[in-house]
Amino acid sequence: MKKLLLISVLLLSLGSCRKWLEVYPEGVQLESDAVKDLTDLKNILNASYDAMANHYNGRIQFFNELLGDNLEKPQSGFTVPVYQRTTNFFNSDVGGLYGDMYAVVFRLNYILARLNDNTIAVDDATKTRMTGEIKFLRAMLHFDIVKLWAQPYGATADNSHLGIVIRNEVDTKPKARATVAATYDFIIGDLTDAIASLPDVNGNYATKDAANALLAKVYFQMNNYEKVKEICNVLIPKYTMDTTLNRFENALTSSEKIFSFVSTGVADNRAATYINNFRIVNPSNPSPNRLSKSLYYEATADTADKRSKYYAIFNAGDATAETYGITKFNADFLSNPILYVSQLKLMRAEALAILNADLQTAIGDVNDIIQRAYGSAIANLPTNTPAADVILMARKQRRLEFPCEGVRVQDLKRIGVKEDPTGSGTVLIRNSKWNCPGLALQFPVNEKTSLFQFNPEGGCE
Amino acid sequence: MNTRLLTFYLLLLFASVASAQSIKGTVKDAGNEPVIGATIQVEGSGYGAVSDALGSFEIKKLRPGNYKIKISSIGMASVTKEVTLGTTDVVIAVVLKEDRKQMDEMVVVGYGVQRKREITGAISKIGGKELNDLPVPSFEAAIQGKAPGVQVTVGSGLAGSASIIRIRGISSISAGGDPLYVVDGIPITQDYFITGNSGGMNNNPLATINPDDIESIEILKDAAANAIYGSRGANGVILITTKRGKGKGWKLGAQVKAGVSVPTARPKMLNNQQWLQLNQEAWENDGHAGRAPLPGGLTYEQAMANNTNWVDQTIQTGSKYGMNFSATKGGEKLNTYINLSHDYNGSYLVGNSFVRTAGRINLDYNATQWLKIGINSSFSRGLNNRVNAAWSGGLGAAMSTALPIYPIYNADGTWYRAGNNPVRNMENMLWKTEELRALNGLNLTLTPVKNLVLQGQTSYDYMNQTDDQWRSSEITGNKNSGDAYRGMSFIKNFNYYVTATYMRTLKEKHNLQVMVGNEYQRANTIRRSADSTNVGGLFSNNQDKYLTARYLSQAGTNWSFLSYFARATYNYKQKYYVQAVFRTDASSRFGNNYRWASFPSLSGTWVVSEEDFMKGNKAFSFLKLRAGWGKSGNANIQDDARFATYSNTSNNITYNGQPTLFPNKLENQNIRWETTQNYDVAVEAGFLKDRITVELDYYRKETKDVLMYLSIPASIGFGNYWDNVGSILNQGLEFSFKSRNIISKNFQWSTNFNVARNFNEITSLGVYTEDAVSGGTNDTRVVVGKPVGTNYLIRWSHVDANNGLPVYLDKNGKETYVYDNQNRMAVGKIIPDAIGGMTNTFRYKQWDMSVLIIFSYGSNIYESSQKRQASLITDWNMDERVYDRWRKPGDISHFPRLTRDYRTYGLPDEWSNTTLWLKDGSYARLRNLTIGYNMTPARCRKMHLTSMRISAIATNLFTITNYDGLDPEIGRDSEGSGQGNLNNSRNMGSQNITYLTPPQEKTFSLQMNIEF
Repeated sequence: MKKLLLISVLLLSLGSCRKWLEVYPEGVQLESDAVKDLTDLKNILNASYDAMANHYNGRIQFFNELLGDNLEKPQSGFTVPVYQRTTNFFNSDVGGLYGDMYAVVFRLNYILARLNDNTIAVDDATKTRMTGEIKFLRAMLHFDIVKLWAQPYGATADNSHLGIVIRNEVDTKPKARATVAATYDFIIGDLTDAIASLPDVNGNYATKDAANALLAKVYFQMNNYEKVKEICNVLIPKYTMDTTLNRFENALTSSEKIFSFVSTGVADNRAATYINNFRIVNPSNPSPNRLSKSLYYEATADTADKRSKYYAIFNAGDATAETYGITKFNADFLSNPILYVSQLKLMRAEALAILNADLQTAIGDVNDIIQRAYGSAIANLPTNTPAADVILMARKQRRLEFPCEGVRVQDLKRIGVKEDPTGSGTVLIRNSKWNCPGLALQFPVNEKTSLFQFNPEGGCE
Repeated sequence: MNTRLLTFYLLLLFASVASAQSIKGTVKDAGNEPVIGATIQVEGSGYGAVSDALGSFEIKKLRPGNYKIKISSIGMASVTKEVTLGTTDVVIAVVLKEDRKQMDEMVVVGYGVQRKREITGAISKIGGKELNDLPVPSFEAAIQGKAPGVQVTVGSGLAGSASIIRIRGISSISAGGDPLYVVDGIPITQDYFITGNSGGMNNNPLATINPDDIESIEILKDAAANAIYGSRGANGVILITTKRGKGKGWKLGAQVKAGVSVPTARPKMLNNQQWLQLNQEAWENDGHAGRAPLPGGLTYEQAMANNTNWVDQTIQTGSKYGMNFSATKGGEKLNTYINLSHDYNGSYLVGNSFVRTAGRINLDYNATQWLKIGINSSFSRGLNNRVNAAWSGGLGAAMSTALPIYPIYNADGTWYRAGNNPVRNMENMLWKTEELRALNGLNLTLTPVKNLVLQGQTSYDYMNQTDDQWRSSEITGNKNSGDAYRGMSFIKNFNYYVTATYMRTLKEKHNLQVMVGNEYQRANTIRRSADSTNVGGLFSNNQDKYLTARYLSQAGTNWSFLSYFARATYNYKQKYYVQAVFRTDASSRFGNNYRWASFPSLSGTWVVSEEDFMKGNKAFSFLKLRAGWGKSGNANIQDDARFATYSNTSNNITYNGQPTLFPNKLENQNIRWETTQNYDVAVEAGFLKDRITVELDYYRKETKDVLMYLSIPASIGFGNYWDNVGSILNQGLEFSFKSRNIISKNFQWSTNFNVARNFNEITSLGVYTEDAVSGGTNDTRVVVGKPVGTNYLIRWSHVDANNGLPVYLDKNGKETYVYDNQNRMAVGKIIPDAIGGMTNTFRYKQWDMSVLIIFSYGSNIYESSQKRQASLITDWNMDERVYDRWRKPGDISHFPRLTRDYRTYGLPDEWSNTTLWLKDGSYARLRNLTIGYNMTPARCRKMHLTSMRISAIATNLFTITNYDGLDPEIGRDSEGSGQGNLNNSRNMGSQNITYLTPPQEKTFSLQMNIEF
C-alpha cells in the first residue's frame, strides 16, 4: 500500500511546477520587455512616422476630396456617404480613419510620458528633439482630424463650436470634445513648442522648417494671413522651385521638399491609396475612383498647360457614360509630398493679395507656378494684375496644382468663412453651403458616452 | 467501370441458388412471451435472422456442420447455443432472461466510462455509423438533429467549411462559444481563426478529422457531466472516441462512394435588360430625364450588348468521391485498428474542393495481467482548393457587384476591369490551403492491485497549415509575373493526464469509486508568412522563389492549463447513485490574482424501476430520475488578452530604414474566468420492455463575469478592451423519444425524435450599453433582457402608397420618414426557440431506408445583403424579388420606389438596417434520405464477404420554410479583427445573418460498403 501511495503521489505531483503556467504570448512583446531604453522610445517614434506615412498616403487626402468638388461619386461603399455628406456613426471607413489617427496620437503621448517619467535615461538634446518631433506630429494629426470632423475655424465668431477630443496625454478615459478655439490653440501651442525644439536638419524627420510650414498652413486655414505672410517670407527664400511637374515622382529628393514621408519602392510605398484609387491600369477601363467633370474641364481647358496631360477621359461625348481620370498616379509606387514650397508660394500669394500688401511678390509667386506649368511665361499674370484677380488666380492654381491632395474642400471652407460668414449660399461646396452639417464627418459609435456630443448629420444638398 | 463490375457481380449472385438446410426456432422470455426483434447470428458466418411477432425465426441455406448460434435482444442476456446440422432442418427453442446490466450501454464520460444507468449528468451519445454515412463538409455537421439541445448550423456550401455548434444555448459573447472537443482524451486544437477570415471563410480545425475513424461521439451537456472538464466545459464538451480492434481475427472493410453537389437554391439575379430597365426607372423616379448613367465605364450600347450570367460563371455541378479501407483484428494480447481513406469533396462553386487523405492506427496491447498499453495515431492531410465567396467575390460577386452589363473581356480581348469581374479574379489567382495533422496518444493502464486502476496518457496534436496564394500581375497591377504569398501556422499541442481510480464494493450493496487526477496542457502556435514578387505561380511550384522570399513573423499563441480533479461515485444497490466532482484549473491566460478557479459539481440518480414497488410494473420497464448542480468555466480568449503588447521590426515593418516598435493593445491584468452555474433535473423512462424510451431534461445555466471585448472611444487610441462584464441566463427543456414501432420478421420501423426549447437572456451588461459589443454589420447588439444575438434595428412600417417612400417607426411606434439610429430597437433574434430532429428507419428484408428531418423554430434571419439587392439601385445586381416595388400612386408594394440615391429613403448610406430585411428563420428540412440494400448472408458467403451494402444517399432534398432568400440554414463566416471580435461575430453574427452567403449544398451519392 505504501508503494501505491508513493506511485500516486509521484504521478500527481508531475504537474506541480509553477513555471508551467508562466507562458507568455507568442510573437508579440509585452510592454515590460519591449520598452526598456531610449532606443525603444526612438523606435516607437519611428513607428509613429511609419503609421502616419500610411495614413497620409492619399487616404486622409481622399476623405477631404470626397467632401469637395474634385471627384465623382464613388461607385458604392462607405465612401459614398462621405461624398454625399451623410456619414453616420456606423460608417466604418470614417471610423477606421479616425481610430487610426488617434492610435498614433496614443503612441506619441506614450513616448512623451516615458521621456519624462525618469525611468529611461535620456540626454537633454535628444529629449528636446524627440519632444519637438512628437509635438509636430501630434499637431499634424489634430489639425487634420479637426478639419475633417468639425466645422471650420471661423464657423462661429468666437470658435466656441465643438472641435474634437484633444489627446495630449496617455489617458484611457472617455473625454468630451474641446471647442474649435481650444483645438486650434492646442495645435498652435504644439507647433510653437516644436519650432523651439526641432533642429534645422534632421534627416527625413521633422525639422524646424517643417513645423513652421505646417504652422503656416494652420494659420492659412484660420484666415490669419498676416501670420502666413510672416512665416512664408522666412521660409520661401530658403528653398528653390523644382521643375518637375509631377511632385509624386520625386517628393523626397525635390529641392522644394520641406517635409515628406519616406516612400522608397514597391515594398515601401507610401502613396498606395493614391495609386489604388486613381491608377488607370488598362486604358480601356477607368480607375476605381474618378474625377469630377468640373475638375476635368477646368484642368484641361488650356492644352498649353502641361498639367492638362495628366488627365484622361473615357467614353468622350457620351452624355451619360463620360468619365474622367488622372494619370499622375499610374505607377507601381510613388513618393509622398506633404510640405513643400509650391504650397507656400500659393499660400503667400493669396495671403498677400488678400492683405493687399506686396502684390508684386504675390504675382511673382503665382507666376512661378504658372510658368513651370506652361514651360514659358506665356500665361503669366501681368505685373499690374489687381489683387482680386491675383486671389482668383492663386485659388485656381491651387486646384490645378494640388488635385487629389485634399486641398480643395478646405480652401472652399476657408473662403466660405471669410466671404460668406453667415452661410448665405454665396460660397458653395458642390452645391452645398460651406457650413452645412454633413460637411463635418460623423464620429464613430464607440465614442458614445455621456460626455460626448456627436455632430448633427446630413443637412447638405 | 465500377458500376459495370458491380452489375456483373449482382447478376451472378441472384442467379445462384444453393440448396441446404435451415435452423428454425422460437425466442421467448421467462414469462413465455415471444421476444420480438431478437437477433439470431450464426457466429463466424455472417448468416443471421431477426425474430418475428411470434418470436419465430429461420436461418436458411446452411450447409451441414457444427454451428454456434448467438441469440441476443436489448434488455436480455445473450444466449449461445451449439447446433449440429445434418441433412435435415433443426428446430431450437430459446429462452432469454432479462439482464439489466446488458441493457446499459457504456458511455464515455471523460477520464473513463460509465454505464448509462449510472450516469448522473446529461450526456447524448451518437454512434459512428450515424456520422459517416452522411456526406457532410466535416464530421460535426452529421451530429445535426441527433442530440437534443445540440444546435448544429452547418457551414455554407464552401467545401470544408465549419459548422457552428451550440450546446444548450449561447453563454459567451467575446470568449469562444464552441464546445470543447476531446478526441480519445486529447483536448484537440480547435482554432477557427488561424487564417482570420479570408475569402469569406474561417478555418475549420475539425475538417481533417476522418469521420470513418469515429466509433462514437458523446456530448456532455450539463455540469454533472462536464465538470470533470470544468475549466472549459461551460459551452459543453464533445468527446470523440475512435475505433479500436475487437472480435477475433482479421476483419477487413472497404467503402467506395461517389456523388454530385448542387446548391440548395440558386440566386435569381437580373439579366442586363432587366437591370438596365430598373436603373432607368430609378433614374426617372429621381426626377431625371434622358438615359441613366451606368457604372463600370460603359456606354448604353455596350451594356445592352453584354449579358453576362455571373451565377452560371461561378457555379457548377460539384463532384464527390471517396474510398476507405479498414482492417481490424482482435485478440487476447493485441487489438489492432487500421484505416486509410481518401475523400474528394468538390463543392458546387467553380474551383472549390476539399480533399482529405487520412490514415490511423490504434493498438491495444495487454502486456501483462496488470499492464495495458494503448496507442492512438493518426495522420491526415486536408487540401482545400480555395475560392473567394460571399463578400470576397466568386458567387458573392455574382450576387452583388458583378453586374450583368459587365463583360468578362473588353472588345480588345483584355480582361474587363472597370467593374467587378469574378471570372478575371478567379482565373488570375491560385489559392490552396493545406493542413497536415498528426494526432498521437500513448495510454498506459496499470492494475497493480485489485480495485485500483492507474492510468496515464500523453499526447501530441500537431497541425501544420500552409495557406498558399498567388495573384497574377493582372490583379496586382505590378509589372511582373505575379505575387506569391504563403501563410504558415505550426501548432503544437501537448497534453498529459494521470488518474488513479479506486473501486470498492461493501456487503454487495455499497459501491464506491473514487478517481483523482492531474492534467496539463500546453499549446504553442508559431506563425510565419513569406511573400515574394515576380513569381509565376504558387510557392509550392516555385521553390526557388520561396527560398528567396521575404519572411515575416506573425503573432502566434502560447497557452497552458494545469488542472487537478477528483470524482467520487457511490451507489447503493445500484438504485441510488451520487457523484461528486471537483476540478481546479489554472490558465496562463489569466494574471496571478485570477489564475486559479474551482469547479465543483454534485449530482444524483434514483433508478426508481429498481424499487420493489415498481417490480412487475407493466408500463415501466425502466424509470430513472436525476438531478445535478455544478460550475464550469470558459477561458477561450486571446492568450495576450490581459497584456499590453508590442510589435516590432521582426515583422519587417521599418520606416526610413530604421526599426519600429508599437503598442497593439491596452492592458487589463484583472480579467478572470467566465463561470457558469448549471442546474439540471431529468427523468428517463422505458416502456414496453424498452421498445419506447423517453428522456426529459430541464436545465438552467447562469453565466457571470462574461468575457467581453468591449468597444471604447477610439480617441483613446484603441477601439477595444477586454473585461468581465455582465451575466447571461440560459434555460430550457429537452425531450427525446426512441421507439421501435414495428418489429416483424420482414419489416421493422423505428423512430428517434428529439426537440429542445431554449430561453436565452442577457441579464446584465454592467455600465455598458447595447453598442458595447458589435455583431453582424451593426445589426446585432447586446441588449439587457434580450437574448445574445439580438437583431437591433429600425422598424420598417410600410411603403407609402402615395409616394412610394419607406415609412419607419420611431421608438414610440409613430410613423416617420426619418431614418434615425436612435430609433433602433430589439426586434428579432438569431437563436431559435426550438430545434430538433426526427429519424425514421425502415427495414424490409434486405432493404432499409432512413429519413432524417431536422427543424428549427422561432429564430429570425437577417438578410443583410438584401438591402443592396432590392429597390436601391447602386452598382449591385438585384434578384427578381425586387419586382414587387412601388411604381405609381396607389400601388401597394413590398419594396419602395426605385431610386439611385439612398437619401430618397432618408438613409445616411446604402446600408440601412431595418426590419424589412428581417425574416422568419423557421424551417424544416429533409436533411438526409438513405436507401440501402444489404446483400443476403448467403450471397455474401458466395462472394467470400462478411457483408455488403449498397446505398443511395441524398442530403437537403427539400426544405419547408417561409424564408424567401436562398437557404434558411445559415452559418456564415465570422468577421472582425482580433479574436474577441471574431468570437463576437461567431457567437452573435455568424448564425442566421446572411451576407451573400453561399447556400448549402444538395448532394446525391452512391455508396458501397464491403466487409470481409
